[in-house]
Amino acid sequence: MNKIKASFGKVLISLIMVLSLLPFIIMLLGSFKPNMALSLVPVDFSPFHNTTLNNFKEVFAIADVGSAYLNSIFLLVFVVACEVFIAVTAGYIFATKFFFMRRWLFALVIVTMMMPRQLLLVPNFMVAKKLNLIDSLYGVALTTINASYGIFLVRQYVLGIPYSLYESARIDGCKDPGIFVYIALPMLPPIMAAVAISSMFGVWNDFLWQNVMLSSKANRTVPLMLSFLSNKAQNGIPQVGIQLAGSVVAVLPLLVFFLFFQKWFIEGISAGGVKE
Amino acid sequence: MKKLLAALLALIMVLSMGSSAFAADVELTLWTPPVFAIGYMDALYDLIARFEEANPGVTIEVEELNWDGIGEKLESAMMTETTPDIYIDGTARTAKLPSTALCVDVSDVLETTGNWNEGAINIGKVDDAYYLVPVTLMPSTILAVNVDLAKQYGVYEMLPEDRMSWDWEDFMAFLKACGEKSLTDGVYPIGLFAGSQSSDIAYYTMLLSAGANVLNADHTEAAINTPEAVQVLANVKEIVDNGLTYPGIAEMTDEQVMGVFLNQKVVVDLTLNGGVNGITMFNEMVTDGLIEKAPVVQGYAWPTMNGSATNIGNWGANCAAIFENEGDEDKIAAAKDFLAFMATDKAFNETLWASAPSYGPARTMDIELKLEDEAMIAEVGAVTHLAAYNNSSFGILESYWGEIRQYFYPNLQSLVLGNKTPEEAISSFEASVNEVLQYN
Amino acid sequence: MKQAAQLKRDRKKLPEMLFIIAFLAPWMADILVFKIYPFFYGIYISFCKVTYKSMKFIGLKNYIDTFERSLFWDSLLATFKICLVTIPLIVLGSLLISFTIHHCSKRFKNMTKVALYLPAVTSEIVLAIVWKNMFSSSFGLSASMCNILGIKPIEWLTNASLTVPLVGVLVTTLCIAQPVILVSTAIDNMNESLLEASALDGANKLQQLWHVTLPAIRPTIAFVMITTTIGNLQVFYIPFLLTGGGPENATVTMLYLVYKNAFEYGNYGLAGAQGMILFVVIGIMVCLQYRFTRAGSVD
Repeated sequence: MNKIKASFGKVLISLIMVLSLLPFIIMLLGSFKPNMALSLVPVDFSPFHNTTLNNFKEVFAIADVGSAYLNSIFLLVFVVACEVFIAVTAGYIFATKFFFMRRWLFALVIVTMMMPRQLLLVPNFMVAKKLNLIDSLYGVALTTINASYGIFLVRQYVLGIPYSLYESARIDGCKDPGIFVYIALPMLPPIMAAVAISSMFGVWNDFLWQNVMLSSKANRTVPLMLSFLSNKAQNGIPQVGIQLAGSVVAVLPLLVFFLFFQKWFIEGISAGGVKE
Repeated sequence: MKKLLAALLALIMVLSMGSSAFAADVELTLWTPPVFAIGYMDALYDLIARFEEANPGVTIEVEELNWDGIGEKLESAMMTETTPDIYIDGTARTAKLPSTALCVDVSDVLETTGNWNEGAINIGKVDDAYYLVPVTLMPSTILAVNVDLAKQYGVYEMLPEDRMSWDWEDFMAFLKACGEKSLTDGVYPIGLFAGSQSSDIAYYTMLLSAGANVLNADHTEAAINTPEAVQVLANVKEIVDNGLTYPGIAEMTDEQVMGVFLNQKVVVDLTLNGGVNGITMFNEMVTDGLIEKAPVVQGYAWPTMNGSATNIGNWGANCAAIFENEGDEDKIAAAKDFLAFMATDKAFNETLWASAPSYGPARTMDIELKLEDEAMIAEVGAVTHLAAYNNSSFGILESYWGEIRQYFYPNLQSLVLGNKTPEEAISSFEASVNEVLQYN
Repeated sequence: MKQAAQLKRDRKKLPEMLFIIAFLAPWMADILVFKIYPFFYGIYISFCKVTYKSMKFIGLKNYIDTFERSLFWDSLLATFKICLVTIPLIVLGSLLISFTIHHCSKRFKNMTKVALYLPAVTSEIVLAIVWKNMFSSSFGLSASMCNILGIKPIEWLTNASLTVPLVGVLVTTLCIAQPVILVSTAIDNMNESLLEASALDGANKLQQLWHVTLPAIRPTIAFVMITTTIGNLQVFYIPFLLTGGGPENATVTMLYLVYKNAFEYGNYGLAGAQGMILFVVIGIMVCLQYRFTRAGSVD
């Protein structure tokens, strides 16, 4: 029985892995093929003939990759830092304190998660305009922050910290800020990492909002740069190869960063984790 | 000493006032996606440089928009009054601008420059004012035929010499004769698609040419439910049933059909707007090393039915609009000057035409098509007369066209999947169109 | 119990209140400006006819229009059909995957988790191209395989009863990484002694699974269920990119409709109304789930 279950599970995992890896591999293969080859139907992704480095050359020639990266990195750091900050502060409070309307306020966290983003797009844009945040990276950052999921995560995590630890600190004369800084905070890095990872890719790839908010070339982020590459598709000549090469350039560094630190991140989450 | 100081002070004051006493320093913003082919942005920058030289004190800042998300960007800007001064784009987005009351009346620009294509300027007409200045015409939606393949299968002679005089009987005969020889090679006579909304104008052209129409004259009601329209869909079904179209039509998108054409697996394509684009694509393939020689591609109008006139569904013209924003007189005047300059500048218009030969000039001008590719020049010459049959009055310029569009191709899918008869498909589309009209 | 009583006594102190307010302030400031205000603005818009220069209050007309038009009900159905596939698949899938890799080496576990993240990382344009090439019935992977097997090519993208589940499966591949990490972590951190105790009592593997493991990780499962529900009722991108609304409008989801009305037709009032309805639907589903999983008990 166990063996059947194990092999069924392995089959499922393999299937999902194939579905997951395949697009990525094809993206890599396709970025080395000339544009028109990718527009033919049936398309030929074979790396054994007709490959070119031209796409990558074009990407770096047309687009200002460096500045796009700097902008996106700034955005990412700012947003993730704010989200972690909000998640930790609010999550800790929801987990450790009883206060007036606590249930309702926490329900509010869930409610904000339910608001569809496209719906909020235009009202958010109007708010941004009033605050003079249009065409500014700060504006994009502030409007992208979405800490609800993070608050959830942190709260669940902090609920797992034994109350006895707080008690002993209190007996030693520690006040609330102290308890937070000396007891809770040292235990939080794993879940902070989890919050960061959960929103990292979303912020990096968020084309829709960044396109609406940003205009000038100097403010272009990586997704905008990617889209700008396809602008060469005038008069109908598709630029699929350049787009794929651009996608690779856009995502590879982030992926490498993630892979390199995943050991630390994921082990970090595992060390903490959602306890009961 | 004091007098010197006072004089110096006075001089400084006069100088600092003097610079603003000159013609007002105007800064314009211009938004445009890369509407035309390679060379458009360069030509635009060049044009702007020359304009700024001729009009000192005016600077124009260009923002090149991405195609992705352009709808959201423009909509958000219009909703929050952060629109640019000048906007240049195709009719998909400019056609609805006149009715928004956000744009400036440019009738004076049109009058002073003159010689405009009637249909093109009517796109921007609301009541008695004109709000759009056309830049170029849109290409005619016509068929592209791979002549090499047609000759190979012996059906080239069945095509009309003037590129437009044939009817559905001829067309079906052509497809069938081609299929007899080509199917054994795995080559299909035609590539139809029903899987995407884009390039659906090909189908509206098909209907228009057969004498059908989508909306009635005042656009108050659907006028699609006619025997001609039903017959057209029945013909489409016949093509599918006879295996004359590349398989998988229900899920094929226009890009995929083009891909099949480029792979030389079909003889007739509906998405490339005729020979010019076909030649461009095949030349690109030669450059990429995928094929040795580009096949000859020619454009043909859709067949007609029962003696109806050739009618080519068309997106109208690429246009420029001036947003009123705060109503700054100097800015508006400068913007109008720029549009007039653009409309009459020979170098700019020649570059545009040469880079996108299927986008004809919107005014009669003394310019010529400067190309090196003989095949391209020949093809442009051969199909120029088709532009006279361009028709954008069937509803494509209405603000609710986007809503109407979304109901057509699902019905087409139902038709080719066998879930609806031609009558049912047309009736269902008619009902949806009327629903859209009701709520608009 | 003793803890709760002690906490309640603490409640009366002022410094504590300040502490609470200080810690809630960043969150409150953020959502008041960027979520709550725009949301109420959106509610107002949904009751108006919105043009570029004006906003005229028209009461419930947008909502009535929405309910009258058939495409809205189709989109409701489409959204639910897709969620019926994705939510169970994600919840059960993450459980299954987590159990399967539980006994494997740490390295394999990490590799799996990273591999599952890859689709979320790949740009959507690429995914659309690849999937279209995989599932087309006239060319590509699926068609070739069917030809080899000698069967008629499966009509993944033209048969609505196949397309909807397919979209569900593809959405799952995009969303499964995070739940797997959470569930897998929960299982790894579970108290082993409970399992040992039940084994001593003579429980076999299946009974252990049902009576010991699952209850132990229930908060995590509830969390995954609720966040997945909220996320997937807002499914939009994959139908948008892959099927363009699907065969005969079968995969037009509710958020897709909102998007179309807002940005393609410029009808913000209608889009606002549809968005609000979607919000209410999500709210109802979340409430139902809370009852069902009794997750509120953690509060």
